[in-house]
Amino acid sequence: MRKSPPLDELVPEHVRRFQAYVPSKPDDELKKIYGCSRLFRLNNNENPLGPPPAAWKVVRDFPPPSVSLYPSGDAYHLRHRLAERFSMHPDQFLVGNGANEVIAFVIKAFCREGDNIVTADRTFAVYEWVAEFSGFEARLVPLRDFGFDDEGMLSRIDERTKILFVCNPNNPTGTWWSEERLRRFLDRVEGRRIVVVDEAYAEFVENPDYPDGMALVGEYPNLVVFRTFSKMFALAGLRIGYLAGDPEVVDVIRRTCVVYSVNGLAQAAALAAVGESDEHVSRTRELVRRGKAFLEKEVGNLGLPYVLGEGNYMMIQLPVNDALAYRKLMTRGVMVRTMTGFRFPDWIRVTVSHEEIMEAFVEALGEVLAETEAGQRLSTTESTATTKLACRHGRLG
Amino acid sequence: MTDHASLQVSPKEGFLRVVTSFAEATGKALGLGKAEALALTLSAEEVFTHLCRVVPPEGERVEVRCSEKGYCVQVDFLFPAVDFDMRTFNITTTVSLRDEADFDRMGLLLASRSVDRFLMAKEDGRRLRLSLVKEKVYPPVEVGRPLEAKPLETFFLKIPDAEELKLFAELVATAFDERDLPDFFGYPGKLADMVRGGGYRAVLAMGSGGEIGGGALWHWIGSRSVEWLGPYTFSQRDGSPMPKALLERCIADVARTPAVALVSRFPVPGLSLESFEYLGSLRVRSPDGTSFFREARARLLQEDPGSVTWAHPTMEEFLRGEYRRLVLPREVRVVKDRGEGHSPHAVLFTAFDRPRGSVFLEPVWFGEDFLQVLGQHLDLFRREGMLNVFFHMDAGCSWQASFAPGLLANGLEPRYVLPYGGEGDVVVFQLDPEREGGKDS
Repeated sequence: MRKSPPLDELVPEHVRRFQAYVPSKPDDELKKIYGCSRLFRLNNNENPLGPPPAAWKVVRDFPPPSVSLYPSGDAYHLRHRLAERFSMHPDQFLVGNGANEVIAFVIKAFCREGDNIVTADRTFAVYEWVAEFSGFEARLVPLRDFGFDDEGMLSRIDERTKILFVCNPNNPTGTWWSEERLRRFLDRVEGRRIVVVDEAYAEFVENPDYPDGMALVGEYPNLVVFRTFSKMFALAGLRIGYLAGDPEVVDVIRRTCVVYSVNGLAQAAALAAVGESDEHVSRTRELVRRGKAFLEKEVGNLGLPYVLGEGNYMMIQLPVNDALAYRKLMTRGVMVRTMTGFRFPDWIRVTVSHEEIMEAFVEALGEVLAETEAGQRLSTTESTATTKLACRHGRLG
Repeated sequence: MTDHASLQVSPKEGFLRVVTSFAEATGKALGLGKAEALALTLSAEEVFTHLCRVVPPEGERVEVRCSEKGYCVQVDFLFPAVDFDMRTFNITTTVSLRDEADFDRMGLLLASRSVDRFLMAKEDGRRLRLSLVKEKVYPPVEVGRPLEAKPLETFFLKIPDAEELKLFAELVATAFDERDLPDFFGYPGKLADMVRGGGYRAVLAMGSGGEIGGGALWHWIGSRSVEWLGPYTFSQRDGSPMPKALLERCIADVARTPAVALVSRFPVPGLSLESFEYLGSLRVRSPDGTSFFREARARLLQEDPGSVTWAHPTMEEFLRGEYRRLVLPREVRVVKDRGEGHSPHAVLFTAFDRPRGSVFLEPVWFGEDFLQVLGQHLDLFRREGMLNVFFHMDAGCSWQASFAPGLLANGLEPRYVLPYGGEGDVVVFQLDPEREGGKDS
């Protein structure tokens, strides 16, 4: 007789409390269930221009026989290329299967039972998730003026705090700490805890006050910087990201990492992207700049409050619940990210894209609002008072 | 964390005394009064006696777990999947003292009547779990005290302690129409225990001097929905940010959990209508002969990934219409009878709210005799003067779709769909109140 394992005895309490994340269905399925013939993906902050040409070529020309070979277990060539690019040592880099994996490496390396991490309540969810399902406490500090609250984070540190996560610029608000503010924070931590600065959207930021975390690693050995190839370099489908830090710190993190987790095609494409990125970055920034200007004007015309910071996205407050707006937008072939999961109920985040796609989004949003009586009411009252609570290129400090 | 204890025994009558002593002693230790502990013990005795007859004695042992849930004590029996005679758990079951076969069922009948709730479920895919729940007894709220509350210019949100919760319950019971509230607001101690037991979460909005300006509660229903109760605010000015702040605290608590929907089945003024979608309403009859409409609202907490709904042909039009109106992506799969066999006996779970004349039915098991069983239930409710009869059907469970034609034939009408209220969406049926008369208030 088939006998199931006694899961109630085998599964640890902290895992029992946690439920599996359910990702959204593939595009073809979504189109089928929402009855739309097109689908504009404005939910994941993907780069609509695609990868840089050199990376594109690598993907296109990738020799099929190579898939039968194991990749470099530690992304040897990519780490050397990154070292050249940032004037660091190759051993200061650790490459993972997307930034999510390196988040897990860091938490595994430093936390044990009873420890905690400190981050914001309304930021990228994975720091909190990985900590919680690993059995560690995630101490969540409310955002202040849509940005990370340095004093609030410092006040939550205790003797069991191991890591502080700062998302800079923050996803989804786009707010960011200047170099001065980041330095002040690092100085206050006094090297006693690991400070992770997640710079997933760093390449989108043009403001000269924005800090280059890589350049600070030499001064602050407790600083670990995350970067990804998913956003600016448009390799999200290949899953590749990395961290950089002091050699001794990275050596510790490396002990917890899974080798061979990054496939050969991802490594080759990322290698090409690092080598030839300036023009791609410029073109992307130009597209984002134009798209943001368009959105700012059109969303303002709709009378909706919004937050427009750095990064290739914009956050918009709706007079209707975000999940309903999502469903209605989906029936019109436009997919955005609902923000309730980020603890911003009734907000959506939209990825900046090509002009015609932005036009389609604004048109669909207008239709959804017109359908909503409450939306019409709010758009003539509350919104005019608060439009431009926006911190466009907001400088904090 | 709540207290609990467990025991593993072979299903042999020699262990009966061990099980009953365990149930009684643990029930008392977990806070039941003498009478409630004895009732739970009686129930446990009858269930274990029955298990001794149906579970092979040399096989896997029976596990008995006793745990406190704050306001109640629950005894779980976990045993290998066997042919367990559930039909005696129908509230309408009677047994004949002349029929020897009925003696066996008499014990389970007593067991089912001695507890407040029972639940049958599969555990880890290999065992069955029969849960018996007995609630503690609480004194009712003292009504009539003047409401002492004033508008708060500034407030902060606080997770309340037991005394603050009891005071909050009194304020709610004083300030709001009883018809708009779940019954536990009438028992402050029960509310405090429900929160202490972890089943409910609460937040209060308080002034700097500790004054309570408002509050809210929420709790999980099933594995994918959270019920929102509130916002209950006292003498706050129009446009106060308090209701929104209370709702946002709840959402912050559940936003990164598997909860897909936040539902409101007891909406009160102040509930942000643009935040919650209108699902439908129930026409509720009161003991004084009047009736009123109680709305249900919900908001999803996630991007709806779509799901499957099982529908009997008699329900297809209603469901498709509701899904179109609510813009819910659903694959409606129509269940057809292909002549396959069913269990001979249907089982329904019944929960009474006698002071309000309401009764709630949920399917436990489908069986060939469902029409007869439902008819017996409705007759019983009529005899007992029940004014409102509701039935919850989980459209995410294919086997429950077969209940639909019998419900419709007996005058139960689908009133609304509760998204993700169970395994899938839950269809709430109500016995047509027109059949019994009643005037709107």
